[in-house]
Amino acid sequence: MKFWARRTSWLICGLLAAGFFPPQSSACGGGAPRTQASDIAQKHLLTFVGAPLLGNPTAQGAPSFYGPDNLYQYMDGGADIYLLYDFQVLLHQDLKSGQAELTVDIFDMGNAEDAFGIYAAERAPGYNFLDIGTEAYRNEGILNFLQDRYYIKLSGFGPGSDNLLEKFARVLAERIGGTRAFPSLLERIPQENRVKHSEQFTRKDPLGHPFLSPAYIVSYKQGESESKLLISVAKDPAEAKTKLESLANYFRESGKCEPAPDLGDGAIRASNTFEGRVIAVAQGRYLIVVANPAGDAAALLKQTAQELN
Amino acid sequence: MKDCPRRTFLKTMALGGAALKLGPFAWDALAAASGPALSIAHYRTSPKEPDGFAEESQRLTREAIAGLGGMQRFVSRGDIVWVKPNIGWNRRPEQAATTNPDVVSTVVALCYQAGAKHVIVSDNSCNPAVTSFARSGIQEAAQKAGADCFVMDDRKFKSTKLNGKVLPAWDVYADVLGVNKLINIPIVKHHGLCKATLGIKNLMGVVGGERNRFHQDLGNTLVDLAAFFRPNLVVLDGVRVLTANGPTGGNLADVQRRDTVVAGVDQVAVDSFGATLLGLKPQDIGYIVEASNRKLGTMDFDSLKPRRAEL
Repeated sequence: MKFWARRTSWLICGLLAAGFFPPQSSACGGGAPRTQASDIAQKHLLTFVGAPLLGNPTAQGAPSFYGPDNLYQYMDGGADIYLLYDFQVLLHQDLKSGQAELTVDIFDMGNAEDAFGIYAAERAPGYNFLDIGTEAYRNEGILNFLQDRYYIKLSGFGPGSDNLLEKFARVLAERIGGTRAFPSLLERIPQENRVKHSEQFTRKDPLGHPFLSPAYIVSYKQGESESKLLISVAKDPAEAKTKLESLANYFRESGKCEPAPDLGDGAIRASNTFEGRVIAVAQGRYLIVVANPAGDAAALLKQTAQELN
Repeated sequence: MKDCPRRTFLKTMALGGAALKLGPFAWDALAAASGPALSIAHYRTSPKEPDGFAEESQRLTREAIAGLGGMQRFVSRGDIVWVKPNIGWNRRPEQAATTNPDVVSTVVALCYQAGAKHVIVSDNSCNPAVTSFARSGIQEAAQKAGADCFVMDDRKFKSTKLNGKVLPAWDVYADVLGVNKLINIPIVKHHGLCKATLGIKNLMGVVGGERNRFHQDLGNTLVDLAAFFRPNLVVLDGVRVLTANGPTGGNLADVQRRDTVVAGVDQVAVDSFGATLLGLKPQDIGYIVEASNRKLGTMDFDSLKPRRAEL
């Protein structure tokens, strides 16, 4: 029996690798016709789970694929934030190894920046982080990680599943390859006082303002005070200046805004009762804002501008 | 005193007239509205061990419903009851993405004690249903309590007139329309799009079709459902609360104990109190505001003088 079970599991893995299981859209069906691009993406995703994995797990049914048109069928309202980051394709596969049941969800976000964005949106600095892929975190029954343009979420249930999650994640990270680096902009901004794992990339309404999209947001802590460094990415220096002007106008209307030449060319200091204080400057194609400037926030703003010059 | 029978008659006629205008469960909902509208039960401790947790959940549920006058106020002999928990996700109970199975099984048991003929527990899951029903622990708990708990059959969704503000008609699970009583049992959790999943949002699980279309105008679509279904009773599970990364969740670091179960007949008030368990105000949540504007209930839950029990 054992021999047959093992042969069956290898056969299933082989079939997976060869793409013999027709991709299933979802339990609910529907969705738009698959494009050639999504077919290629699906085949590529299959190569990550197709070859035998540690523990020789058996696939529990064919893998399912979801695209932007039907992701909600799998995630309900949870899909919206993925769509915001230009989600492309999800591979969902249930596996079983002994008594352990595992679920593999691989989200192809199309590019590394959006993959970072959705990964970072779902993590918190207090999580238990691991060195897998670009970054990973785990807790009982789950392990999520980021690598290249993929966000990988693993769930485990039953005895032995927690041990398998980490091993699985390492194998998948090896197969996925590509870049393990964070977006390069994050490497260029000041490290001192930065709150570890606080970096975010948001495509929608950073700090509540559409004109600041898209933007990186990072927390900095000095003593008990925490500031937010926001870097809004523009097409070019002219657009960065327009963003700065929009921010200045907003504060002029809702509070006050003054020039701050000591912080840089065209820099502002602004405040209102709702959002508190901000300092901001445009540098190249970036608008740099420090919200709730605490401690030596002026130095943070100036150093960031210098690094992004 | 002479006026009393006449007054009662007029009141009954008025309720009847209103019920005719409302959804399938409206008559019972109106008839049941003659007692306390909201009951909140809270546990002083947070037992960690499984037996203690189960006992807490069961006691809180019984106490919350007792605060409204008991299940016999809502379920009568021979009733067929649809119990609607959140079974949307392939998550364990501890991950707090699905309703606590001990709350569900207690409600089922109370329905039978009140004389129900048949209790059905189901939901239109987002994740694969067979796995979600088993993983959530709800299927086993509901069946042990004597309920039928089955995965919905796609063929049974039928286009139904809702006469809503934005949903004139939608695919509703036909069996839900065939029962006498509807009890909604949501869990309190964070939701990335609408901030919180509570009772009104949980009603999405009795409809089918392209539910993503709801997200284009979540406030109005959800309230159209709430206005149509008007559950006889809402039992809100706030024992474990998913505070971030909802509705899917998964990370135990996002789960916090609130050790609370709320029961109510005013679905807006129940959700309004539920919002506070996530540190939100009712005014922060679009569908609660819309439901209040449409006079489906009150956001000012304190005005209902809720019965509070500390256990």
